[in-house]
Formats: sequence, structure tokens, C-alpha cells
Amino acid sequence: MINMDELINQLSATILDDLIDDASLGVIFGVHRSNKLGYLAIEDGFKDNNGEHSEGHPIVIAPNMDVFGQVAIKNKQHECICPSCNRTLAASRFAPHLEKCMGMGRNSSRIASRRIANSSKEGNGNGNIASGTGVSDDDDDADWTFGGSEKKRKRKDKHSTKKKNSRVKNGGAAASTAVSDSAYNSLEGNISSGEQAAPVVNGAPTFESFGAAEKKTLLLQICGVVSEHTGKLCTRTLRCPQHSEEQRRNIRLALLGQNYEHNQVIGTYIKQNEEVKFFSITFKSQNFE
Amino acid sequence: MKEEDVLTAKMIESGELNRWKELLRLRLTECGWRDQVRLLCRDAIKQGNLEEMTVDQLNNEVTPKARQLVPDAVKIELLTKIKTFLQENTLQESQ
Repeated sequence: MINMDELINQLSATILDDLIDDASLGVIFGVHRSNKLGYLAIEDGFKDNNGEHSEGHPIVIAPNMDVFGQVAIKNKQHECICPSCNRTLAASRFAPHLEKCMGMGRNSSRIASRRIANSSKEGNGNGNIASGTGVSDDDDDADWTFGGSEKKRKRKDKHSTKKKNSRVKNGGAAASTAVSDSAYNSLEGNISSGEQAAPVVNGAPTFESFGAAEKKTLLLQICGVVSEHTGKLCTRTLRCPQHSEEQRRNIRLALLGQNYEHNQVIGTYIKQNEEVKFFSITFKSQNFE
Repeated sequence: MKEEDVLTAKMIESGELNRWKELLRLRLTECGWRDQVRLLCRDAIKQGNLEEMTVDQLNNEVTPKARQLVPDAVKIELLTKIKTFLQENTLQESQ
């Protein structure tokens, strides 16, 4: 057993020596290669013109200083004085403040017009306007955000819902009754004529305002099936995969009456009368002879 | 004895030796031995002829010094590992 232990010790010593030789050989290879390739001397660094080793840029290790020896205070910012209101401001806040203060940018003119609108709405009992400008400058500073102010977002929403309501198949439900009535009345009077001036609701021409011929041409181009969710006509191609031919035929029946010419691709309805009469969507379709 | 050597060599080649190698390299780099040996080599190159230093020459000069430079802690750690491995395997053989 003692022999075994000695043997083991000797063996492990030899193994260790081999391992160390391996490691040192690795280092030697690396150094030799870098010498051969010529970049061994670079590790020492370059001499300055003074002839000394990098005396011009010593590495600085000291409190409150970075490696180059510069004093490192990040919070130092140039302070500017606004020429009009004479306040000291940080440099990063200076530009937006100047825009509000001098009233020359896009934002500041919007704010001014909004203020005017507000003051005119509530009457002129708001008190001094002069004091208002001083206070609101600071409030407006907060508007300088990436997404824009919230008031403008609300406005956008109002517009979009109005536009949606005025879209094609609103019936009597969504749009205000005054609008649809006016559209119907104007059309009622002109029912026999073909085209007419289209009344506009909220800036968008409504479907009812189209003349019979326009409607026909429109329905020849688009699928036209009314979607249940939104009440609008499907504006996809006549071969739209979402709706069946049956649906398209039904819509054309409802909108144009039985006597109309369908697209050759779709159906087999044969036009009986040349005239196509217009029907208001709010009422059931009637047959014309 | 020779049979034992052969057997242990085989066992080592199963992968244990590689693991020891890696461990040794790691330890030597950590303790700075590697940089010391590098310095040795560079000094040797500067002393001798700069361009004609072959690997063999470097080897012969540097290796004994490098061996001395290895810190004892690293040596002991690895020795114990090797010993335990050998003991386990020789015990198995005898059984």
C-alpha cells in the first residue's frame, strides 16, 4: 500500500509537470508569434516627442477626477437669462421656453389662439389676461412632449366619430336625424333627374347623395355588401372573398330596385327598364315598373 | 507497473486530463503567472537575437523558471485532484 501511495504521488507530480509545461508552451507560442509578426514591441507603448514614455498623458487615479485628469461634474449646465422675461433657465430648457415666451413658434401661436377661443367662450370675465400669460408659460412647458398635448388628441377623436357616422349606410341610427332628413329631402325633390349637387355631411359626401347613375356605377365597381358591424358598404373588389354573390345581389336589390342591370360577372339579372330609380336607404325599396 | 500506467493513461484520455488542463490555465491566468511568464519570454527575446529566437530556444530558457513561478496553492489544488482521481481508479482496479 505504501508503494501505491508513493507511486500515486510520483505519478501525479509528473502529470502536473506535464500540465504546467503545456501551459507555458502555450504562452511561449503566443509570444514567439507576436515577435515574428512584429507586434511584440507595441506592448511597451509609444514614446512621446519628449523621449519619455507617455508622460504627456498619464493615467490619473484620484478622487473627483476621471482618467484624463478632468474634473467630472455632470450636473454642470450653462445657465441662460431669457431676454424677455429675465429669468435664469437651464440650457436644455431654454429653447422651448423661448418659443412660449416670445410667441413666435408654431406651438405658441396655437396656445394663444386657444386661449383667445377659451376666453371668448366663457365671456370676458376671466380676469386679467396679463397674469394668465405669466402662469401658463410654465404649464405650457409641459406640453413639449413627443406625443403632443392631450387636448389635441381629444379633438381628433371627435372628428373621427363624426366622420364615421356620416359614412355610407347610416340609416337613421347613427347620424343625426337632421342630416339624413336634409339629404333625403334634397334627393326627394330631384328624384327623376340624374345627377345633382351632393350635400356634404361633415366634409364627406354621403352615399345617399349620389345620383342613380353614380350609384349604379359605384355598385358596379365595389362589392357593396353592408357589414353588420359598421353599417358601411364593403369597398373591396367585386370578387371580394368575404361576401357571397347572394349577398351582393341582395344589396343591389335593396338599393336599386328589381329593375337594374347587374354586372355580367356576377349575376344573371337582365335589365328590364333602362331607367334606374333612386331609393332612400331609410325606407324600404319599392318596385318600379 | 506499466499496466497501471497504461490503464491510467486511458482513463485520463476520457476527458479528465482536458479538464485539468483548463482548470490549470484558468488558475494560472488568475494569479498572474501567465503575464509573468510572458515578461520572461520578452526579456529573453530582447537579450538574445531578436529575429532568430526560435520556439525551442525560448522553451529551454523559460520553462524551468516558469515552473518555479507557479504558486503553491495552484499546485496543491491540482495535485489533490489528480491524486483523488488516481486513487479512485487504482482502487477499482484492485477490486
